[in-house]
Amino acid sequence: MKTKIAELRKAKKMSQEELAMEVGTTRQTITSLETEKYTASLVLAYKIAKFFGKTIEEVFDFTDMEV
Amino acid sequence: MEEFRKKVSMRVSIITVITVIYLVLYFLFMKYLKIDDRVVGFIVGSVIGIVSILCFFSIKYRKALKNEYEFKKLYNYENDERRKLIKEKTSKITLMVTFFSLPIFATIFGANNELVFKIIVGIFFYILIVFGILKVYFMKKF
Repeated sequence: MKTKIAELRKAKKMSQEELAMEVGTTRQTITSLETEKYTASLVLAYKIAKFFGKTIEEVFDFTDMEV
Repeated sequence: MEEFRKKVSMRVSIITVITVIYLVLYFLFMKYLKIDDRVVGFIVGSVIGIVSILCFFSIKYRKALKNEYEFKKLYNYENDERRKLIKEKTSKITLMVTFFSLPIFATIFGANNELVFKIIVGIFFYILIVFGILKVYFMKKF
């Protein structure tokens, strides 16, 4: 799934490790999210969006998702 | 987080107790039992290996308990959802591979030896029973 995590993180001048510590996950998970290898759970998506002061839809791109 | 701190402290205590028991048993075995040289080599190697692993985890947990950053990092690592997913998928595939390979192994290696055949079939049913019990348990739990 496409995300704006890398973009938002770089705008805040944060490292992946720092972001991971803030949202309660590991650097590897942040890397996987940024490289679109892994899709975050609702809880993690909420934590990330909340950290950046955005909604989940603003951080995660759901346009390709089938319902 | 406090719950996890207690859990980590408990782990340190358990590791210490296990290490002491292991070393005491090792010295008692070595002093009072007459064992073949090859077996001694295996025992020494396994004791060194296991005690090293226990020491590694003990140091890791003690370090985390003293340093807040390391503690949070350990907490995040142990509760990481991607890690849990990887563990879950690995376990599932390992079980499937084991489950489907055992009948093949029983046929190949048990063809000329009845005992080997019985052992492999026994393991197959043991895994099947454990799997069934756990499945029922988790179906009722969630």
